[in-house]
Amino acid sequence: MIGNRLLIVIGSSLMLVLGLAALAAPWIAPHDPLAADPALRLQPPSPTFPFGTDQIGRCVLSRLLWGARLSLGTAAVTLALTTLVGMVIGLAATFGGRFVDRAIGVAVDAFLALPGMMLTMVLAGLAGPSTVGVVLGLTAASWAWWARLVRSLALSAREQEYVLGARAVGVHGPRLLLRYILPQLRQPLLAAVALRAGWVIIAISALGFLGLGIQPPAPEWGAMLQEARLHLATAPWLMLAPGVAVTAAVLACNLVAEGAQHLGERPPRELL
Amino acid sequence: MRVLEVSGLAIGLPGGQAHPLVRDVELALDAGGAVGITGESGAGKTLTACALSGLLPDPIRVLGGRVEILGEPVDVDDPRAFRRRRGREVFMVFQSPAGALDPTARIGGQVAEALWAVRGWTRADAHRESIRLLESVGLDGRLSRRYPHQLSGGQRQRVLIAIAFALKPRILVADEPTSGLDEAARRQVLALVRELRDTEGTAVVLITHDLRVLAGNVDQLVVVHDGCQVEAGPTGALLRHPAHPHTAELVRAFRRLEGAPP
Repeated sequence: MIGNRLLIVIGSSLMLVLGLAALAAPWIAPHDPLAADPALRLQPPSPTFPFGTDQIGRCVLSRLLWGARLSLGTAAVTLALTTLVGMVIGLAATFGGRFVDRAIGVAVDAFLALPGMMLTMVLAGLAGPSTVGVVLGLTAASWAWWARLVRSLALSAREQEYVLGARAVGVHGPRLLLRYILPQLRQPLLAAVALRAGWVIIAISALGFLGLGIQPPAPEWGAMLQEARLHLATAPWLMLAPGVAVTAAVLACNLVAEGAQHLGERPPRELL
Repeated sequence: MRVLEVSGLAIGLPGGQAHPLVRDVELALDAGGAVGITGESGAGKTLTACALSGLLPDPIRVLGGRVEILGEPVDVDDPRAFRRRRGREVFMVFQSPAGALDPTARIGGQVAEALWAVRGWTRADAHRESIRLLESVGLDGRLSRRYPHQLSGGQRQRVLIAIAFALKPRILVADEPTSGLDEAARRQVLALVRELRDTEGTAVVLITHDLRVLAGNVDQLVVVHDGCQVEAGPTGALLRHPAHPHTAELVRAFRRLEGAPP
């Protein structure tokens, strides 16, 4: 069995590489990702164009690097927003009293009953095909999952004996939340973020592929896959590059999630 | 001065009026006084204690009865009604001192928190005072830098008593404060509870199945059996002449433990 720490190290190294590539895109990209040169269309990989060129002669490597900014950046913003919305709603359900909890529970059930990807497509479509539309669509489609997770984590955190002890002492309100409840949510939430990150990256690419997401000519990975589809037989590198990038990003997230989930579950020493 | 008056207290699941888990509890307590609640495991002692500080585990609720704290009726159905009372007016010490302390915080900080977060001291004053309080319950001031898992059970229980001294509550509800402690530690804890009564006028509700803890430490005794108060009265008289068969049985068991003739 591969150790959990090793999974986290491999996954986060991969994330780091992708993240650095995204940040450094303006300096390491060999060409302008939007500069088209029809004379050089569908070139196979070569020293000048390491990953070849696309159907209108743009450098695939440059598009891939700039695309990392779009795909991963959008994923990061989406995750931050959904986590925040889910936390606020989940904590409101936990501490807002029975009526608030019921009302939120009904809304969560309703949202979870709909297939996530379909809901995302509809909402992103309604918000208009754009980066903002993708972020809002994904947030609207997945807040319920987060709210339910945060609620269940906060409920069990609240029942910890030492939290009860603190309440008996008279600690309440924001201090109880910040000092006694939230620290207990940190680790499971980080694992959940890593777990959801893979899904979000795939969803963003899928929306791009379907034309509902980030719009061409912006070099988003899903949109690149869509454009490459038509030239699969003659220029397979077009599909390979963004395909491998999406896979690597999702794999990195899932490795970290897998490792982080089980980090606290090491068997006690006496059982080894 | 009457600090706590409980009459007809019933506790149970919502809608379970027909089958309450605890019923008919009557308590009356003056400043500096002490009442003991005893009974076998599962009799409802802990639920009663939790109800008195508004900390009943969900979904258990107070179903009926009256609770008056410092002469003011408290809405027993509403756990929030206790929020501003907890700590200053009612402080409940839970069964296990190991669980009741925050495992991620130093004990000095936890004593200090009672002073600054609840009683409004400045943090600097609270930290100075926390060391003095730990010393006053017989702990080395240097222990304030330790975490709960680095202390023994008796030391942890004394940390909780130090918190009680910090809070100076009008009512201390102590649920099995001496369980799991050796004879010496038990005596120390009980002596500290007595000191709190004498110096601060704190009224004490002492909950235990152990009659040895109650004899000589509480003036009044309440015996609960199967969720129902079966007998109440002055401790000495009740132990000498138990009226209810269940009380008599408890007293017999206690005498056997003490090695005295039944």
